[in-house]
Amino acid sequence: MGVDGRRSGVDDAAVIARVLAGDTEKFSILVERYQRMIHAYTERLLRQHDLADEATQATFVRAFDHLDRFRGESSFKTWLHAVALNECRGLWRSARRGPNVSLDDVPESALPRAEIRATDDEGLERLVERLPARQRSVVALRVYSDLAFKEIARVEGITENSAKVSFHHAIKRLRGWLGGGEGSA
Amino acid sequence: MSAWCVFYRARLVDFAAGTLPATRRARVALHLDRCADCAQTVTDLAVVPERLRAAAPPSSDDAFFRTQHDAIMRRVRGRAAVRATPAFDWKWKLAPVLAATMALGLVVFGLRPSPRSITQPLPALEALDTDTLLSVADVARTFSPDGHLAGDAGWHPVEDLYDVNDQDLAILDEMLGGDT
Repeated sequence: MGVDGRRSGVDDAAVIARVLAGDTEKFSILVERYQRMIHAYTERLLRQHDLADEATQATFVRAFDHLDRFRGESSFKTWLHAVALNECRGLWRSARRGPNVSLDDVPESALPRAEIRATDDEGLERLVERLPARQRSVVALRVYSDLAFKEIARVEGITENSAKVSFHHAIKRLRGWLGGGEGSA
Repeated sequence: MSAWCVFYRARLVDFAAGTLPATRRARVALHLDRCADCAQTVTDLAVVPERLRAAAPPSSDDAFFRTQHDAIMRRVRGRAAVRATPAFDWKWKLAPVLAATMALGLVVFGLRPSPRSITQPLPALEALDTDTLLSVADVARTFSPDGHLAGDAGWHPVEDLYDVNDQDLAILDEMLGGDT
């Protein structure tokens, strides 16, 4: 159960049990609880507000469809992030079939240096968007969704050690973009 | 970057988070004393996430999330309604087709009900009109020249087989030449 779950006083597992018993309207509690977090996560992964809207809706609909597959081996929040990541990957695949090229396909050296050297807060957010997909996802899950590395590993389908190394690389890269010792500022 | 730097990559994350057991923490601390780059990384691992959190743009307004919430629940209710609808049952949907096929088979393969017997019980003479009486008389004349009708036990006088009244009998007498 996440922080949001405790705030509303209703355990995620209890809500899920009610939904599975046929009380569809109780799913509304889970939507209210996690929609902002999932929207922020999908927006960071997809870097497009409209696509993030679609991914967020699709995530909850998919979660509802497959709620009986949630075994409680991880927290519902972790499971939901994994569903969201899958939805985003599907949207990535669709986008790559089209004329648009993902920023992940652009070599880092090709990115304009002036934009990378942003130092204000807004610039910092843009720097996160320029991280490779895996590192971007790990940073988003750790920093914004507040997941433990063990949970991040579950979401990404990697080892806990790999999740930590990805995070390490992402932070070093961000510090490098910020410029020298500026990361310590 | 030394091999130790590579080895300690994941542990630096735990070190910065303060989740490393004491023994390992001491070993990492020893490495940090010798490696300025890793020491800087530990600082960054603590500071950069905090800066990212502080720099996170405010989430969309409540109205946006209310709209999105409603959109999600509409789709969820739609899924629930589809789930509640019984699945298409071929057994019952095909039952009328099967029944029609069987009926057609009965007709085609001659499994029809037996045709009505051509042997019909003769009606009472009093119920017959004149034309029919004449026909009966013709039959009687054909098979029994002496005016007897065929019965189960052989030839019988008409009045033995039919409950005829006197008027009918007179008509028959006249038709059959008075030999009934």
